[in-house]
Amino acid sequence: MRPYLAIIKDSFREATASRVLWVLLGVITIILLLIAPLGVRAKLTTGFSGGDIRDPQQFVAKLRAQAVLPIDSPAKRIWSQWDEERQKTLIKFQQFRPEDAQNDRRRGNGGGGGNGFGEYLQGMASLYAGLKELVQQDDFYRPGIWREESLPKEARDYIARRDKLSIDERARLNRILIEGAIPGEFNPREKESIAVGYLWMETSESLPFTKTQTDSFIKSVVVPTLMKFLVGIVGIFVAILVTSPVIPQMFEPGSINLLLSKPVQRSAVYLSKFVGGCAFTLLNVGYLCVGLWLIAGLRYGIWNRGILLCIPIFLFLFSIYYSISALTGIIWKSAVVSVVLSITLWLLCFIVGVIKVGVMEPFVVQTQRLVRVVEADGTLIGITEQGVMQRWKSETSEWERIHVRNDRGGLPVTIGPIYHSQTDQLLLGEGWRAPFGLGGRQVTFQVARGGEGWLFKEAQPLPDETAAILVDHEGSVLAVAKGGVFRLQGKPSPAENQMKFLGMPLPFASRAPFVRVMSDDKLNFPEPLSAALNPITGDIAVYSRGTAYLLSKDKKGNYSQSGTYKFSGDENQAALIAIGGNNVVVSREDGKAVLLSPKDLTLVAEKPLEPHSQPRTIASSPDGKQVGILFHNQRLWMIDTLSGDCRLASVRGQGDISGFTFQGERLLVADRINRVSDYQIADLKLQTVYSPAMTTSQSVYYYLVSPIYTVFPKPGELDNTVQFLITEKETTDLGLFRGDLSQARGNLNPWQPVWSSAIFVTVMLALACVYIERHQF
Amino acid sequence: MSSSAIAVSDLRKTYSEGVFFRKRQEALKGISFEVKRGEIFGLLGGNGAGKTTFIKILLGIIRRSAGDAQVLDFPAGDSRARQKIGYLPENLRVPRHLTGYTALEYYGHLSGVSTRVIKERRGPLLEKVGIAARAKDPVRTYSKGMLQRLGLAQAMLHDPDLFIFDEPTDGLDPLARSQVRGFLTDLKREGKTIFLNSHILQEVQLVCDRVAILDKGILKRVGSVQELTATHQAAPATNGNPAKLADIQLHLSGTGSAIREALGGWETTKWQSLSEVEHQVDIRSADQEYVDQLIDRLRMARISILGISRHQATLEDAYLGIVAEVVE
Repeated sequence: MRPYLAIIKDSFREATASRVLWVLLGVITIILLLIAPLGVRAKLTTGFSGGDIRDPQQFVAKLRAQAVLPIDSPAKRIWSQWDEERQKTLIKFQQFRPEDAQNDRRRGNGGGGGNGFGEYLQGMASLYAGLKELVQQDDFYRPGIWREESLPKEARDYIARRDKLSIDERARLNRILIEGAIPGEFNPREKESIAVGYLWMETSESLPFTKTQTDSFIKSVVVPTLMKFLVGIVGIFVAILVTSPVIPQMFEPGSINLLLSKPVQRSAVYLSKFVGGCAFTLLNVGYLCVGLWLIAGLRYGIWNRGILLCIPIFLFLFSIYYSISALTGIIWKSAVVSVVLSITLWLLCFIVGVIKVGVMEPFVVQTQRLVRVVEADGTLIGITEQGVMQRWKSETSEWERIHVRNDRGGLPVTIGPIYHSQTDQLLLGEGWRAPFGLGGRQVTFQVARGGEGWLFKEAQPLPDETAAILVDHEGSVLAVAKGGVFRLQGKPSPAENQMKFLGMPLPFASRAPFVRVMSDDKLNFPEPLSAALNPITGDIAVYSRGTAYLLSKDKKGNYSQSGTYKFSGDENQAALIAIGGNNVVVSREDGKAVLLSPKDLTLVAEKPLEPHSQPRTIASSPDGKQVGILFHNQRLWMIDTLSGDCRLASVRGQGDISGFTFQGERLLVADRINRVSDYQIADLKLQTVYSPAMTTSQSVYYYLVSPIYTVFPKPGELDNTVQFLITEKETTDLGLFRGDLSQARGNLNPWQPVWSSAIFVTVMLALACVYIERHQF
Repeated sequence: MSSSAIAVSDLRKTYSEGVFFRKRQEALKGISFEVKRGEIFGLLGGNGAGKTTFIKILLGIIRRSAGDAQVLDFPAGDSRARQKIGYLPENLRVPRHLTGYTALEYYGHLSGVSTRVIKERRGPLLEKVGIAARAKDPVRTYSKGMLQRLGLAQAMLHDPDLFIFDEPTDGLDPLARSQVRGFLTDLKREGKTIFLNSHILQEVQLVCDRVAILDKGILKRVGSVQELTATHQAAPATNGNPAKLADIQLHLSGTGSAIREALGGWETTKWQSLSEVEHQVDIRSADQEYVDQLIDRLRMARISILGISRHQATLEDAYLGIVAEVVE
């Protein structure tokens, strides 16, 4: 071993003797020094910033209205703290009408007396300045003015120890008191905000993000991007240039003859030299990663070992290019040829990657990939990722388009379709929701009938923010929404079929068709929300913001709470829920399946199914014995609800499954873009396959692009491995789909590029070894 | 252990070149000789004679096409043989980032020497080759001669049994050449075998016990320096005694015409006039009887004999003669 270790040691010596290394280390040091002083500090949300007040004019109006009343009120306290001049400014501000300003301008006295928008802006500034003053007051709180019981617990805690509050806590209390003065006039803000600082400077206005959100952003966006750019592109390029002469130099006549005259194995000499060639990269990448790791840990408290794990990954990335550079180096003995070929490889890999991931997948695969299948009245119906509903035509073995989703901005929402056998209709909820987990969801209820060519028509209006549509064993249509559980009065039917009088629907002209059926008036279900119905008992399981609820139907047909289970961890994690047999199954973003008792929701078991992915679809079989969970990594798990056993479903296409459903005794699984396989649930025996002939582009994708992509090294995709190591998630999630598990999330496939690249490197090294063993120098 | 350090028999090497390896070039055309342990052996030959090819085969850098080659009782190229060889290549290149010390450490490790032993030996070795003062300087600051000395040091570091030196005095000044000759004789005294590849025939003549002459892949002669030079004494045999065959060089004082008259019918091979009255004359084919007669005649003609010597054939003469035979 000694000779080979000597070669590796010599490579390190060579690297440290290189001026380029020291220049690069200097550059890295400067980058680290520039980044290090940047810090994020969590602080209590105390001040008000623009946009915090929903309608400032209305706010002032309400303040004034309450301030004139003869009783002490929080509003009066606020108003009275302001001097007369501010009050006058605010009154003018409140009375300002944009049309007046325009009229004034038309009459030519726009500049006179400061009328117009200037006054409005002045008033607005005065309002925020006034609030700022109040927030900073030491004795703003007066006992007896605020009803303590109506204040949030946080404020009550501050009040209880109000002599010992820090400046920030006092300001925080004042802010809560102001918010509580006129309820509903303030946009909600988290308790915590962040302040961004650099050296001794700090932004005076805090940013409306929590420390957790910021950490997650830094972890999933800032660090991976920084690493990709600094190391993945700049670093590797420099390393290729710097190391390209190493092998050609070794093969110069006066050098190689002496080397080969020593008692050494040629291949081993080459491999040692190859390993040693990575020394340069190791020193640079190691320094940068350790530096970033320390900064992330010391400055942000994010001790992420993923950053350290990036060192071997980047080394590996470099070794892909270096394997080709070294091979060409021994054949042509020219650094220039080595660099040219390494960069050619880089380009080729990039082009293949772009064709597969950037062109074929979104335009050939995603557009036609089925994400939902359902059988309605003997017809197989599938919905694609893009919301196109298609029906299977067995005569021609092809999918026929029957309905296209009307995208109206935001993230698309599709509930169902559910086959309502009692009326022989397909029920569908379609609409949109706001991205980034912000509230707001609008869904319209639609129905379609096979006899009418599955033409979807708008049906009864759904309750606000409906998240699930369920059909119980009696055929009643239930909607689970933010406000609770609602039951459709009558049958689902197109709006045009409803009895109308003078254009107004009858008989429930004054009443919504969906009626709340909850015995508890106060119980509501904020997002993230999902719900499922026990096909046997009719119980409903609901997951809402970190808590699972079990609702049972009483004799009057109202639902009352018969059990809850509070999940630990971030309550904003979205989850899917299913109920059947002996278990309620909840699968949250952490990829675990939590099994709860269907009687009282006590915890039965936790099963870590896909620790690095998130669930996308969940369903229970009609007999309640099986629950299937499809994850975003396109793997389908089956849970036996009676025994609690979990296993990967033994169906074909695991890793490429895009949708599934239980239909009676059968399990329908969609894979390979738009193929549906029909299995018997009991033994998962394949019954029928609905497989359309592949289009030319699909054939090109499956038989040309995919195989080439598979065997090619994927240096670009190693970024995914890096991202996975840092975020520990196999699926891309930049927060856009926060709280929504149904949207397609990009699969990182973090280990695929590792093994395909490893094979490439091995082949290159083997070729080089054969060459060096056979060549006569 | 056999008595030969290197033994080759009918060694052949053919290079295939061209796009389809059709162009064949025979570099060695069946060579057989042996180098005995403990001797200094010189391999002579012009450019393209096949000397470097021969050395590369011995070291296993290239494969032989046919024939047999044994080095230190192992097949040529065997790593056990390489372990015991100290090699100094022609135009040695030492990686630029190394210093004298680190270069010896690197090459020592490659030869399997432990760090401890390297540290013990490298100081005295660099002292011996005369670059101890520059031991810690990067080799990129070394002159060609210093690099050559470093090359010798690395070849000696692992205390091998056989040294293969390819042009060891290349780039060295006369003093250094003499030092190198000193190393070689020292090594020989220690019982080492030295295989020398050199263009500088005078040096080979000075240090080598035996030499081989290679020309265009063919081994022309093998033997001691005396044997080669003796067989190439440029004189016709008059009485069949080769020991007596030699040119006579006379350094004479007298006019040219007087000398010519005195020499009469004797054949002169070389005439060099140093001044009007001083001439150097070579006379061919003289045995002692003729020499005596010649001196008598010169004295009788009152020509002063400033000097008289027998001219010995050099290795260069022998080499040129052998190569000339090939040309003929």
